[in-house]
Amino acid sequence: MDKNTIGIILTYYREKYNLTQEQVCEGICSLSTFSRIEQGTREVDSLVVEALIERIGKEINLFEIIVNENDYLLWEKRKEIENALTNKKYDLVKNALKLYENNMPHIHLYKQLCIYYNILLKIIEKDKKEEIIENAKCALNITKINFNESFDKKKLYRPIEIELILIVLKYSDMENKEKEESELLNLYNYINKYYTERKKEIIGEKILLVMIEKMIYYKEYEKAIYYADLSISLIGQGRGFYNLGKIYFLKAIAMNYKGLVCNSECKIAYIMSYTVENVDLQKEIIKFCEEELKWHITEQEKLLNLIELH
Amino acid sequence: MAYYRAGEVIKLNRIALNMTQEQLCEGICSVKTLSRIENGWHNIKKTTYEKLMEKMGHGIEKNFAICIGKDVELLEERILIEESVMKYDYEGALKYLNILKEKKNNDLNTDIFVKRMDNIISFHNNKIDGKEQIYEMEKIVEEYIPNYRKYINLSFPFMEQEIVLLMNLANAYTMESIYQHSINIYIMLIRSLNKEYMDKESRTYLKCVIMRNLAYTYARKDDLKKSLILCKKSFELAKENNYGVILPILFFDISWYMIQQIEKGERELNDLAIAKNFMRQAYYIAAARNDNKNKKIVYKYFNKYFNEEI
Repeated sequence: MDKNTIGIILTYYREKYNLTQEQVCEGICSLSTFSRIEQGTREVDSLVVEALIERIGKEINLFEIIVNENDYLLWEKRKEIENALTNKKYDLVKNALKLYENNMPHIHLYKQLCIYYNILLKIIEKDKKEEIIENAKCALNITKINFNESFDKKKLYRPIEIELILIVLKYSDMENKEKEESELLNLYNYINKYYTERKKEIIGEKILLVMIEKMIYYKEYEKAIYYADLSISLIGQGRGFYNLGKIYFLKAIAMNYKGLVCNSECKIAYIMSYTVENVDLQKEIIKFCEEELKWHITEQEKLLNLIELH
Repeated sequence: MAYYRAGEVIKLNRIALNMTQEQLCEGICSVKTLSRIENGWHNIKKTTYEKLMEKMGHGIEKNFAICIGKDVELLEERILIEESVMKYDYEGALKYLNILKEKKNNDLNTDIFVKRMDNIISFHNNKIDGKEQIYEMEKIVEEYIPNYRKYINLSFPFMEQEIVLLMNLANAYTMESIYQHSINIYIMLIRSLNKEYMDKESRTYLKCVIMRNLAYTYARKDDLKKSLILCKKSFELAKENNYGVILPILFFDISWYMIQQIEKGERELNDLAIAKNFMRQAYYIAAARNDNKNKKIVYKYFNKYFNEEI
């Protein structure tokens, strides 16, 4: 319904960033359809519009847009699935996903999205790595035809495409630390350049988290600390806090390997994981402090467990 | 900015204006069509939407998408200003605001945005006092949403910019101890946001911030019980939606309200330990997010009140 608004947004940013029409619409819609969307002579599905706007690095809710009921409900459903995923309510994810699959239009972008959500569930259920990678590649191929394992700087990527590449990178055992680091850095630099605040924060955090884990795995502790600090400052500039506990804990582990004092990192990690009610992480931190640092972190913080607002 | 649902916007607008479906659709579409649009069973055409909104007194500019033409170009500057204000960086915000002023055209939405930000930044940089702030803010509201008092007991589909503007006005009233005005506005806004005409992400973030501000207003009015209930609700929303930026302030507030209750004898002395831990939590979350401003404030206050190191 917002034909000219979407057209103006797409044309303006495409020209501002010197992008070609082919770069933006690759794998999403045909060139002629795209031209007509830019000119405002064609109404399109909301997910197609969203995908095109994401290719230029923007998010759809950065703009004030009035939509029809069906588009609105599909959008809300997607948000519901994402929210349930971050809040670890997996039964809710499964139910919402089923409902979504039944109501979505038969357009390839919806299929890609559903495979992506299913991959996230597979990761949580600890499915085989090979299967996760296979699925991620399959989803990627829907919009990035002939995707050949590595990131192409000349092309444009949507957040979902970046995340799928990240999944492939995370789960393939390349045993090649230089290549893995440079691939991850490519992804990070790309989103840093193109994406807007909120998406930059959320995806950047995910990329850096994989990076920190890889660096610890390869015993590159200084680098792990560096990337941990980078992601802490990224989140500090944004709004979030969910993964701070984990990042501080990984930083503490790397610092400990380097023989540095990491008690205050542990403390922050513990309080952050307490705030998001991540009990497993809390236990892990307590154990690490007792075994590695010979320190009972909960002595001062044990009162925290009594907190009840009444 | 946000994503709005056409049918709901029309319906809420119509009810607020006390119009019947027959009155609204006359000469535009059939009653049956309007009813189907409002219930989300019919996809509305852009021209119909415009006509309906115009009949309800919304000129083209405030009619639908804000980002048309020149507006799109200014989006990036607007985001930079908003992000700076969110992080209490008023110097930075002023810098970006001056850039925006140079670039802007005379469209109403950008104009209101500039005036509103000018007002907030001037107040925080001590260029104007509280009374002047209210005077200026009332003028802006008068120009942009002159009829808002009519909706004080209704659910009106305010757009995001209108909500933020009214919230700023209410904040100014609170600072000058004109509590009933600010409470009325906050409650009106929360009531609107409880309706589902705007996407959930934008809706919940606004609600989270408004609830915190309403809690603060009640606390200044010595109604600490209400304040704590609102803080808890605001925290639940923040936790569910990964809004870390508000947490240090929220936990500091909670702690401070509890301390005041204890001093007044409305709460047991034993709860001081809980209040202390909330403040500690505020400190560590600020530290984790590199939020040095709030970290310093909490630290100073903690030392002063509890007479011990955090």
